[in-house]
Amino acid sequence: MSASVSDQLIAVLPRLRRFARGLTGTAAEADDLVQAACERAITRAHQFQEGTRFDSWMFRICQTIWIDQIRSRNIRKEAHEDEGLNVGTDESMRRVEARIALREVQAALATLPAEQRAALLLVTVDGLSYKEAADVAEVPVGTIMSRLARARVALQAKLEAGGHARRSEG
Amino acid sequence: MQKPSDEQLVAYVDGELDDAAQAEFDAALTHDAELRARVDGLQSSAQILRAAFDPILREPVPERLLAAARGETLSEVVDFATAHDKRKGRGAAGRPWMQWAVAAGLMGLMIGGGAGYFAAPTPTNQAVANLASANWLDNIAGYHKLFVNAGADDLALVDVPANDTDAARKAVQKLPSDFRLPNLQPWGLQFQGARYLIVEGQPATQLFYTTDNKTLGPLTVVVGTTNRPDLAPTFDRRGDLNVLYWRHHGHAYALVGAADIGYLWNISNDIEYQLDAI
Repeated sequence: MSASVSDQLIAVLPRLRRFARGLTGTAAEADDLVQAACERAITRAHQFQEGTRFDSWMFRICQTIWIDQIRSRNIRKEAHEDEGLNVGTDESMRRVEARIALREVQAALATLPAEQRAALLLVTVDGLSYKEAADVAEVPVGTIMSRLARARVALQAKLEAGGHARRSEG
Repeated sequence: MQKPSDEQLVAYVDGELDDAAQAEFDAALTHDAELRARVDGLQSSAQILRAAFDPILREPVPERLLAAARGETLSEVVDFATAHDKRKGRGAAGRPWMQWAVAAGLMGLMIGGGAGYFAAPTPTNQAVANLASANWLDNIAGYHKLFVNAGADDLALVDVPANDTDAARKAVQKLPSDFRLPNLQPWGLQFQGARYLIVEGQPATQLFYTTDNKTLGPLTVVVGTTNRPDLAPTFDRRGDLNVLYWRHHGHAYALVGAADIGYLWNISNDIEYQLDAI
């Protein structure tokens, strides 16, 4: 593997971890997924097309591995992110609140179908355009629009039902 | 304007509409309170979503992921494509590693695309060797977990899958010639595939087995070369996994699984007997 590919991989790791956390719902599984994605990227580095976006390629690998896994295992995980919720320790209240917010949002995300969750993470969290997200998911832009709309409406309903939006505004 | 669809509304919030449609929405929002409320709700939930996940970007990246990105967790696979090119034109005599032999009865199992590994040069990256030497128990435990999490169907994790295809069958001819696959079927363990890695700075093969016996659970067996002196079977733990490892006459062995250590001792005895590793 060329050093440049390694450098690009390292540079995109934080975003891959964030994406994987949204997909899997737990830190440990997310990091396992990212590691598997890195290893697959390394073994298939020759398949990366120069001139295309490296981050999109990695998102695609990550998503492919994850969807393959959940299809083969036929699982729909509930998100549980209990680690680190030690209120009263030295951890600042802000970080605790952030983790609680993440847990609530992940619980809402976990109820969405896999493809909708991925579209939401790519566009709304990572800021990819519809076209870029469609390239990652290897589907038409219209499919991304449809998945995204259903996901956003469902997420909004779940967050409001859970009182998250009201607390955030208050 | 007519009541927009959810797709149109979300695309507006995301700035994905064309200029004319975007302007139409802007105009409608000035006098349509219901539309404004829908847009506000979508924008608010999107902000919550981003705010929840953004702190992950500031978390320290685990060392194992940095190592994976550098190609240090799969050092041979890092150079797989290069090795593939290099091995073209090289015969069996040019293989620098062990002269392995796949038992004839196992030929149908040991197939796949990993042949280049054995023809590849010994890893020269000292950092890789050092890392592997220091962390090999962590690495094999980590790969065991990856394998278990992925399930036996995910062949991306194995370099030599156990399934049978014509293309892969050709590759079996290039497998190490004195390699003997431990037959663990008497324990109810089915071989699923092999993965190449580094153990104590040397090439090794990690063999994956699964079973329907939940008491036993999936196991991995690691067989590799080592320059270090013989070592009696030694027990260790990595998280919730039991690890049993030993060295014998230039070979390193390890057995990894969540099974009770008693099971592992017995299986390791069987492996030692089969591989002349006592």
